[in-house]
Amino acid sequence: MADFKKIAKIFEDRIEGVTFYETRATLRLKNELVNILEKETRQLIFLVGEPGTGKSVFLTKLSDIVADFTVIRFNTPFFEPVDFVKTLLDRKGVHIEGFSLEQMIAQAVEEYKKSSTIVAIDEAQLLSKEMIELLRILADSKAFWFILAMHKHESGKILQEPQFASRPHKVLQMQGLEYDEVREYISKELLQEGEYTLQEELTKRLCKDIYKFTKGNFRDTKKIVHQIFLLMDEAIKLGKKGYEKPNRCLVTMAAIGGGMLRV
Amino acid sequence: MYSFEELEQKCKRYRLKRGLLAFFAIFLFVGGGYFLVQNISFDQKLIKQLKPPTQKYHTFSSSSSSSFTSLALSSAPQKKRLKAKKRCFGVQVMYVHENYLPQLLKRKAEIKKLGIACHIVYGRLLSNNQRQLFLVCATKRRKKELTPVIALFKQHHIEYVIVRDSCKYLSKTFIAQTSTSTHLQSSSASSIKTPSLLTDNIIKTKEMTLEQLQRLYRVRKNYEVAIKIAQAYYHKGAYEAAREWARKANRLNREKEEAWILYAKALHKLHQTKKAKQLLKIFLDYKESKEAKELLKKW
Repeated sequence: MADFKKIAKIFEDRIEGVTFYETRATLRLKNELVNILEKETRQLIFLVGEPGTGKSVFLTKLSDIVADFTVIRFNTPFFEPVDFVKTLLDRKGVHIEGFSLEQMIAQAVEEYKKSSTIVAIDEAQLLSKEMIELLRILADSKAFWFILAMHKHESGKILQEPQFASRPHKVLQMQGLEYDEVREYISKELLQEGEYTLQEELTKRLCKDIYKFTKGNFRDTKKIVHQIFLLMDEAIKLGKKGYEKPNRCLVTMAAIGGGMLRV
Repeated sequence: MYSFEELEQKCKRYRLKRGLLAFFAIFLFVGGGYFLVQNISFDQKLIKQLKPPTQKYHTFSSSSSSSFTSLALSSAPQKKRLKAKKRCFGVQVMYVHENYLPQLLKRKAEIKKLGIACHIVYGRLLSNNQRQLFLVCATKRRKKELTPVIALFKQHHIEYVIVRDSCKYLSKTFIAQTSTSTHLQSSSASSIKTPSLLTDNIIKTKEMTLEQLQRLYRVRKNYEVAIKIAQAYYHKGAYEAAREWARKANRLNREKEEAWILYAKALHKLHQTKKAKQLLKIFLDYKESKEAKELLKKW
């Protein structure tokens, strides 16, 4: 009998330490980004998508995708602009010369102008107005590339801010998984762990059900599969019969447990 | 967070709901399909019904309007159904699509002037969203009863076709105020019957005064009005006037027995029995008349 708890861990929701699964959507996004970086002037790039589509993972893997660029990634947004500029100068390993924000900005621009640096900011919808204004000033300097990842439903408001609306910028959409990609992803993960029988038991039909509940959301897909294996583990402990292998009821139970289905 | 048992129960409930929904969906699908099949076959029937007509109007003149000469007739089953519903007969004089309604109403008014009431029968809705309209006149229980109406139509060169019609129009059929239908308000005149051209079932007479009749005669000089006036005068005791009007009627139609008889009776009342008898004998030489024979015997 397989250790379902161990298998469940493969599908745990995390950003760091995961194998980047290249979907059709990420491949498209990668190509678009490379095109922009090669052909356009330094500007703001907005990466928008539903929560759980893989924006954060994409930003994590950004340095691998664009090897020619130095990627500085910020997962937690800054509320004080001065901290942000200080961090940028720290990353460059230079001594901060000025005391005012303007002086620090001028120093940072001067330092980064010569290099190709991408500043990637995750959860950009949480940025304060002061931070947005600072990003505008830094973007105008043409010293940085900025990639701001944000939730799709909140992106509209930020994009309409005068600081961004009037300046050149690009918007890239992060799409979810397609049906066959859901199956492919689960199979790949299970095969990597050597769970061949389990991979076969997760039939097309079950993957279709998973896709139906998750609507291609990467995070939800992982969550539901994780939940399925946890339930299977619990069924063994409770001595329940009929849960030795994945079935439709387990998928439904996982969807209910994960809050994707309300009954 | 739900326990395993709770999730299990919820799953069963969800599956049951889905099953029921699927069942209803299949039920609706099958029902819808059946309905569609029924509808399609009905449409095919309609298409068959809209095929070119096999029956044509009786035409009297080559120059007559051709806009309504084509008559769409129903298929055999449709005919049977119509027969079951429509037990009476009518004379159809026009068939148009509803956008020609003004012409239909015009024709209706024209026929009304002849003293025949017509009604519009609404037919099927055609594929061009136009409804068929039929102008049907003088609804009768028997075909034979339509003979006078047909004679009148022939006289006026009106194209017609005898069709089945609903009996509910029987009571509505009437002859409007015309030369052929006259009644006097006087008690003596109330017994006067309408002329034989139009039969009782078609004609519902309207009481008219002698003045109205004479006014009508001035407008429309015809035998029926003249004989009515003569009869009215006779019943009033105005024999000289009755004789004069009977002569006028005879001039308009020499073959009619009534004018001869009334003329003779008026002469008899005016103490000219010899002349009256002579007149009746002349008429009897020309035409067989039971009443004339009886009068001769009586006098």
